Amino acid sequence: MLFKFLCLFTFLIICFSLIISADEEQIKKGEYIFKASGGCSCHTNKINKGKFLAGGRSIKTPFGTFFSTNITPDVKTGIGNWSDEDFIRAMKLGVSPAGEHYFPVFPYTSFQLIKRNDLLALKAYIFSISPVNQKNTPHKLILPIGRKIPMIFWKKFVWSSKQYENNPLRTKTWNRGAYLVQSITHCAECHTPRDFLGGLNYEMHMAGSVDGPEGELAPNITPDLKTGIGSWSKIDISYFLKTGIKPDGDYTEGLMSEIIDSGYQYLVDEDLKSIAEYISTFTPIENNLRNNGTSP
Amino acid sequence: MMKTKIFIFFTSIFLIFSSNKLVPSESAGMIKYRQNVMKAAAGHMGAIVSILKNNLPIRDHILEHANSLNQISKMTISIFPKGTGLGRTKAKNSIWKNWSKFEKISQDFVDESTKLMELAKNGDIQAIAKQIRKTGKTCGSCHRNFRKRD
Ligand code: HEC
Repeated sequence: MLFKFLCLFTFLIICFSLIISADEEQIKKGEYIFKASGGCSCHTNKINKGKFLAGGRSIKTPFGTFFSTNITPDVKTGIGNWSDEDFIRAMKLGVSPAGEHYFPVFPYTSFQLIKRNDLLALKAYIFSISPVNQKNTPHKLILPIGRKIPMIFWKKFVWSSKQYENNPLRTKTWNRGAYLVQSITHCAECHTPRDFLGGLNYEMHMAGSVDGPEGELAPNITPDLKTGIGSWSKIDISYFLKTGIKPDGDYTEGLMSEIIDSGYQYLVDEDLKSIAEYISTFTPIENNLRNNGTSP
Repeated sequence: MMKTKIFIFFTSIFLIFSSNKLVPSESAGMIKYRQNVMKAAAGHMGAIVSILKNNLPIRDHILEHANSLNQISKMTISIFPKGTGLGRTKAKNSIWKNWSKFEKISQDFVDESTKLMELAKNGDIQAIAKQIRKTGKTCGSCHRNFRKRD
């Protein structure tokens, strides 16, 4: 009798610890995805010493000033009462649980390509951090009602929801890089210019944008020799993403330095290699954004 | 007596203005000089980084570059005299408005590059790789605050 009881007891303990470690593993995986995304740094108001992921950071765009939202698991002011499906719908379709369309300043155009499993892990991680009670700040848009109508037009006619598809003609490394860059690391959101509705202009894929987020210039990162990063080796690219140091010894600045600090620097070497492999196969586009004539 | 006073008055005025303000032609020269010095700093950074990331068999060169970088770091303060914020330069005027902050970041550059030099003497590659990033960050932090973007 006692023996049976002990067996059952041990069995239960093992089950329990397996569940916990599965959870922990999921959170760990989610944390990696979180960092690969750049640490969602837009959602932390660093300049004003805001709390982690509690939002409130202003993001200036040609369409007005957006304020990032609270994505901590606080039930009242954050996303604490979102179900898995709510989270996936927001990330893949850009629709809030209440059915509102997000403006693509929230990069769901890229995030939609993140695989379901990766999204669930990401949610598990976000739900493991401390909730912060902090109300969202309303956006200050140039045309307040103008937000919805063109948005819905854009979503109906221009944007289309997509899945990441493996390219069988390319190597495994290349495909891993393509997946990371197109979805999680969302490089195009800054490095590809936008059309007048705010959507990405795919003909200028990664050819740089003069008014990226916060009005910052995001340079041309296609392999064009004159105006892009054609002279960078793959090692140069992966080293840069890990450290922020460019091949000429200059240190990167602005949003790029922030996103490296809060995220990309934690990418494992294999992923960095994959990203570099993929990026060096972009179509070179000549697009000179830097002011000619002003020297450093 | 009166004459001496006037003399002292004008001399001190002259000294005040001549000591830390540059006339335009000198200022253009200073700007060019400064850009060359900054390029030299980036050159040494880039050189160390080339050795590290490509695993080049000339690791002993790292110390030389770290030494030079450290020398340059100590010049930073003196290559930004007042009156050199106009012309073909990306230096922001806020340098001279927030001089103590500028001084502090310049000192960080000196401190971090000194550590880099110490580590380069020991030759621990991992530690050097970490420290080069810390050193680079001091450059980035100054550029973020005080250098105009392209
Ligand atoms: C949040 C916006 C943002 C995201 C996301 C972003 N970048 Fe950047 N990136 C920038 C900005 C701004 C700069 C300019 C910084 C500078 O001049 O130092 C930059 C600079 C660069 C440079 C240096 C180019 C040069 O000519 O100096 C490279 C390479 C680069 N990014 C690659 C990437 C890759 C690869 C990704 C995705 C893994 C990425 N970036 C994601 C904003 C971003």
